[in-house]
Amino acid sequence: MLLELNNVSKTFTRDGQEVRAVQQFAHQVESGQFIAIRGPSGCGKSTLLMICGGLLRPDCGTVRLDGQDLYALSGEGRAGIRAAHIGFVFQQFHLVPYLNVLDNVLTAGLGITQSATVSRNLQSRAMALVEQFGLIDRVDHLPAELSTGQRQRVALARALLNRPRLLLADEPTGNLDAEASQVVLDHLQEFAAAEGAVLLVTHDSAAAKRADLLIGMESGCLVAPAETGGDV
Amino acid sequence: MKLSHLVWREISHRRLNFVLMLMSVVVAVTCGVCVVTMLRGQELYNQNQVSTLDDEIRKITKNMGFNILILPKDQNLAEFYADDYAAQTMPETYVEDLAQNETIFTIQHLRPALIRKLDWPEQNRQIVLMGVRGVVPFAHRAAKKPLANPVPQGKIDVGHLLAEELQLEPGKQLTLLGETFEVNTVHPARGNKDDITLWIDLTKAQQLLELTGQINIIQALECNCSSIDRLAEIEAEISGVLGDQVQVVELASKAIARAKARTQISQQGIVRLERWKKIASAIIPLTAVGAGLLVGLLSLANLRQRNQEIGILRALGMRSSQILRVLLAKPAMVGILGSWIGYLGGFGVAVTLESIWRIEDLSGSLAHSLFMLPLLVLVFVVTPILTVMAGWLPAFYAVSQDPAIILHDE
Repeated sequence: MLLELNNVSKTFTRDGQEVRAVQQFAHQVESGQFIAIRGPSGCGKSTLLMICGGLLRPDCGTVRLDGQDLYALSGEGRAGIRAAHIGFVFQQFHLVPYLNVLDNVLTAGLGITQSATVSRNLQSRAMALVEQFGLIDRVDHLPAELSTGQRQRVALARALLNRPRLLLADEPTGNLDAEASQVVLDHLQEFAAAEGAVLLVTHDSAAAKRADLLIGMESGCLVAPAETGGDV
Repeated sequence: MKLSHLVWREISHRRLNFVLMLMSVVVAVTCGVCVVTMLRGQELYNQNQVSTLDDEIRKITKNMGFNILILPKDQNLAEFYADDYAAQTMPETYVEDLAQNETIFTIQHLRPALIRKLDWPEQNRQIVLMGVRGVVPFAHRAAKKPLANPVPQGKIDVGHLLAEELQLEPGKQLTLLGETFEVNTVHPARGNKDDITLWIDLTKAQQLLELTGQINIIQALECNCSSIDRLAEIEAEISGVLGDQVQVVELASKAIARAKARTQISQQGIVRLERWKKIASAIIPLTAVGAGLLVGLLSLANLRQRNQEIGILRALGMRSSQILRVLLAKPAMVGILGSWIGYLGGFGVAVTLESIWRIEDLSGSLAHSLFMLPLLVLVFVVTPILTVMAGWLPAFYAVSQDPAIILHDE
């Protein structure tokens, strides 16, 4: 079992009002699984993703990655876990605007202690990923000079630089056209097939159909899961 | 990829922010260095002015005669000026009282004398007779070369006009009031009453004039007093020893005028320097605080632009300490670069202004004179510290933001 969520809850307080983003959520993710999380806007999908990635401490419950309780670690410890084992892909890409394609991919290596050897290896891997994602002729370009599809591919390459075990994707196809969306989803499937695990948050039913397992969320709660292609 | 690459790329991308930060630091450092260096220039100028006048005074006083006269208290000064000698007398012991006293510092070269204008019966002419015993040394000071030598017993010094008219020369004999003297020295023409003066030993003069143990004048030379009210200072010292038994007259002279000018210029220089120091004490903190605020605000604006970048770097596993280093690298670089440029600029401006205003008054190489190593070290050490401090709060705030909220809101 790669990822285990046990009775996880998260409540936000805004202007004196409580918003229960996630309520007593429990689930397990195995290596090689491609899981889509689907639900209406504001149901807590992205919050759940952040909790799984060690970025947002739940109010209660545990999140274990490879048996390690993420939130028993310090902030620095969780940062190390994220650098080594978790990749993120966001709807807004979140590329660094002043770094070219290659450097953006290499930012994923900044959280890792780099010897000269590790640095060379990361450089090689980054170039390989840039080539794999069809960006070799854009390697020196800034994000502003790329199409949206190209930017998302850069983000995906960045997420895969350190060979993570878990890929967390929050609406990665939200700003892409159909063709570009297909490319991204293809890569996610490839990653899952290579024994990585993917948690995909999406509104897109077409994207959800590519997953092995579809989880429904509503008002922060898990709704009955369905097999691939099923509706919640 | 190294963190330094991230820093350089960001600076290249957001050049305006970096340049504005740098300019604010450069302006502050330039102002500070310029003001402090010009203060140094003012100090040197003051010292130079005073030193020049001191040299002049030394040159003038080197060959100067006595310029302080200590007279009996009851001597009428109008009569003294009219007759050119004091009719009243005072005890010769007053000289020893002054010479033995360790509180006397404003005068030197004490020479007691008994002076009388009288008819020379043997030559049927009017002369000035001056009984002298040489300079009395101060007990608490090192002996100095005397300004005037005593006349040996049995000998007599003759003024130029007397010697010329009576055909007197050293070795010849003359008779004065029944006493025979051998001519010791014939003084050169001085164009004053000295030309008709005869100098003999003081004790002999007292004997001839029937004024044993009495003198009517103590001549002295004043030292370089520090206060403008020189005479008051001298009078205070002398009355501290002799009480109100004497009065002090200061002869006007070029040296005194110079010394007064020196004291006045020194005082004015000090006042001017204090005024500049007050201005500097206002300018330097103001510019430093202003620059600090600007750096802080520009940092804040920069970090607000980089919010999502910081969020994604956190998500990618960069530690808070790493991100803080990245964020503070820019203010640090601004501080280091700004200190160099600001120092060179400020020093250059100060040297230029000083060269325009005062170069002829500063000895040696101007830049070398004005250079202060402690200021250089202070600027290079303190400026980066202050700029990092200015950027610290915005950076700390940025790093403490919840990346989940940032990434979700973006």
